[in-house]
Amino acid sequence: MRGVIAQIWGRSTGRLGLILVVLILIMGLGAQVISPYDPNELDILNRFSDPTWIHPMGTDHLGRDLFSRMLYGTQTALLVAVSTIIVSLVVGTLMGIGAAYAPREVERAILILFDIISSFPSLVFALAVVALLGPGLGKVVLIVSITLLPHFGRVARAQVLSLKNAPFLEAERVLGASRARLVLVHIVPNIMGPLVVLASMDIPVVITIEAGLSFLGVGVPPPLASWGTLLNDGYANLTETIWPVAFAGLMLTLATLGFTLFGEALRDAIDPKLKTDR
Amino acid sequence: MPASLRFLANRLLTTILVIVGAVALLFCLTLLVPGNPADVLLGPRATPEAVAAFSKQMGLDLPVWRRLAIFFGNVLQGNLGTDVISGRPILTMVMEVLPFTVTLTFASIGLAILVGLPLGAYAATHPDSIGDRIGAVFSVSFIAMPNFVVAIFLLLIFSIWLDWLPVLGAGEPGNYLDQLVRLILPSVSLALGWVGYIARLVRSSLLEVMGEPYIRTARAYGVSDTKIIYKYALKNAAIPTVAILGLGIGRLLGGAIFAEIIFARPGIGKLVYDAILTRNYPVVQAGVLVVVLLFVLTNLLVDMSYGWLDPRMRQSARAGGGH
Amino acid sequence: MNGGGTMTTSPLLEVRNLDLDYATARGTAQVLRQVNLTIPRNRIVGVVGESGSGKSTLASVIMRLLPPNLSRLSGEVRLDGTDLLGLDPAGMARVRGNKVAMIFQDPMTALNPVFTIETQMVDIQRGKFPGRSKRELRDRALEMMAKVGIPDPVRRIAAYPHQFSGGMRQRIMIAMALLVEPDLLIADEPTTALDVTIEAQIIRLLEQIRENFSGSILFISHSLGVISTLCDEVVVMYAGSVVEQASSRDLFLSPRHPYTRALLSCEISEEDGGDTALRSIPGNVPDLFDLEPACIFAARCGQAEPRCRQAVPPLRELAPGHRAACVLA
Repeated sequence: MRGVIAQIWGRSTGRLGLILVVLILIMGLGAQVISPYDPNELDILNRFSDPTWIHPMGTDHLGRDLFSRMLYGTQTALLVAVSTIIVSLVVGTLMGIGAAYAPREVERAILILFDIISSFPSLVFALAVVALLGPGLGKVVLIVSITLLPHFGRVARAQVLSLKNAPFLEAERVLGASRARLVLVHIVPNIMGPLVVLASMDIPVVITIEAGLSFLGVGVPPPLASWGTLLNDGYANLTETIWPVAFAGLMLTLATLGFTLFGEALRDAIDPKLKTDR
Repeated sequence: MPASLRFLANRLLTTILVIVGAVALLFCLTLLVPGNPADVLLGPRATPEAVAAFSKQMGLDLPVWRRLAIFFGNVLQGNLGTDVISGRPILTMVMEVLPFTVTLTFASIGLAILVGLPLGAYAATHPDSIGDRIGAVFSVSFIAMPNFVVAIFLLLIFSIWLDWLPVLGAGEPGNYLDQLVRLILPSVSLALGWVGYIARLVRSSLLEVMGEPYIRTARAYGVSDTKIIYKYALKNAAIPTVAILGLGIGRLLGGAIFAEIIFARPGIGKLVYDAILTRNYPVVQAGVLVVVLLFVLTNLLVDMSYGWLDPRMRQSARAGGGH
Repeated sequence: MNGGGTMTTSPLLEVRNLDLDYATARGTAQVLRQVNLTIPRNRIVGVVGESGSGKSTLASVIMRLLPPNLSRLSGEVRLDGTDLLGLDPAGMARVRGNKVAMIFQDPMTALNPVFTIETQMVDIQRGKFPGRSKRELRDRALEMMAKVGIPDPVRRIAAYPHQFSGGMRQRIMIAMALLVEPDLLIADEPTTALDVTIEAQIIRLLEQIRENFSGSILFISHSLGVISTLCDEVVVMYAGSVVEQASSRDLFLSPRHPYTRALLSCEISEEDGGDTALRSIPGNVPDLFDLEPACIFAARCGQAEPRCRQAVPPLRELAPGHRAACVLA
């Protein structure tokens, strides 16, 4: 673990990624502590304020403090990203392992399901579902995790297939170990490396989709702050002030850049052979 | 049957299965809509009689499996239903805006190749040079930046600060120059990330190919470096790049929604988005279906274009298995 | 062959005091040590040795197709009096495919899979015949394909490499090398990747070619048997050094270096040839890192004496044209 961090830190891009990720984690986790204002506190008289010492990023069209909203937006982005990745990682991995051990027909069905899911551009799929079911934090998490299922499922299956007949597992099987034990004790730890890398590389993808849906007004519902809704608010008032758009765009870019660089450095450190073509 | 043909047949079968699955999935989503779709579509002021009549007309009173069968039948005939609001066939509405989206998508991918390929080739031929490093930083930044952020920033810079380009709308019908000018910013906003992707991909695959024995053969015969890179190595390196392009089209179709909304262009994305806001489900369904079809078919096309790029994938009957 | 008349003129290729090191993760590997080699005009010189003896590296040095982790390269490689190691890249590009051509070990990977044979055979001639039209170059290619025994060249020239068998691909490589009419043709283990019957066919083809070929050939192989049928002179390499050099006849009739004798007895006792036979010499090829100033073969040599381990034995002329690097010879 310490070696991996050192390796990431050793490369200039990895270092930048790590710094950005830590910064964003601090902002997101510490939103309640750092925020100078209640993110929903209105101050109509002071709307469209430029950045000042009192409002470091200015205020929005309702006079709300943008910096505080940005911090809470960070929290939302992290919350959605982490829960989506966890759901997708667990379900996708189980499906992948299942496919590897299941009879041929079941395996084929799972693979075709993955193909069908991947045939929807993820954002279009999310839009379709949200349009039909209505917006909501939980729905965003659910939908986006479904679109990511094939990533984890395919990698998990491939890893299991390459491990299934490994001699050390053969030996255990001969000794009478149950299949569940084999999977839990031997397969899961062995396939964790590539899956963790994949998970970290999917974080910026989820952040982008969440922000995109929220930008379109079908993602995280108000009054919850999200980078996407901040961007949309700013976009609607672009003729009044450019600061909300500038800061929200910057935060979003720094977050995706940070997680992308971090993910790539992590991949190079853990598993340089893993190519993520998607 | 040669392996390449079997590959194609297999690929075709998967494509059909995927399309059928996608249609079924889209249908199932409508079942999950809370409340009666007729209520939602007609609004709260509709009389119960109107709702009942409408349900009957839409076939909402039939059992689920019948409705699925009808849905499939209609899709097969190209009948996507009639828009409740305007009373026009949905297919016509989709076909009207489809060319705009297709133009935007292809303009973007063309732009991305045009810029990304030389960048990648330069980086691969000058590894670890200043230019390569700067290019790498730009590539990863472009990839990381969500395209709607790029689109808004472009709008901000070029239309609000500089006031250079007319940016909104698709341009006057018939005035091609105007249409072209208005295509610039939306396609740049979509292409930027792909410039980064393609540059990186071309760089890494070129570097890999340059180490292959057949490149050494060309060197051993004094073939010029320019010719080796741009004729011999690039064709080999193009194969993985083309593979990515298929997926790229899908992402671009998704991204086109933002470009169309932000730059107020007509297109599938705008159609779907407007339909979402008015809860016009059949139009959403049809729009998504068309996007999925486009995506799946482009991917099929890309897979088949391997044969053109890589003769090993082609069936080997022509020059005759001379072994 | 026709040696007498050309003895007086300067040699085609002279390699002098060639040293080459690679920087690796483990340290510096001395891959070539004080290699000296002369190739007269119109002669076929064979270089024989186990894998790792530096024979293929020697070919790469002459072609200047070297990997980037090279840490030292000194000495001279004179072709027609010009030191190739002193040429700029553009000058070297003019030598390649013009004065020197090369046939590679693995014909399966040496041809570009996504271009037709025609494209590749035409393009390699451009450096040698810059003025000629594509049509002329194609016709030359067709003629040469027929000469090296590829049936139906007119049809087959439009095919891709994967549509040919390994043996046919190596014929194409040979045709390519002959097309540029080089002064020096380097063949780097051209039959190693092929199976035995195909190998015999290619050797027969090379024997035919040498009758009409006007340049010299540097033939690299790990098999003394193959070398003996083709070459006028033989150079034996071991762990980056030349240990013996003689005319083909002298070397086979009276080998002077213990390593050469070991090689010969291996090849006679084991018909299957190849590296497996060579391994039957007791011991291993020495590590190329941190070499001692001693005879490089001493550790595996049955006759080694204390003085063998005190200094590197120089290559001494023992008979006219017959040299060996052994104090006991």
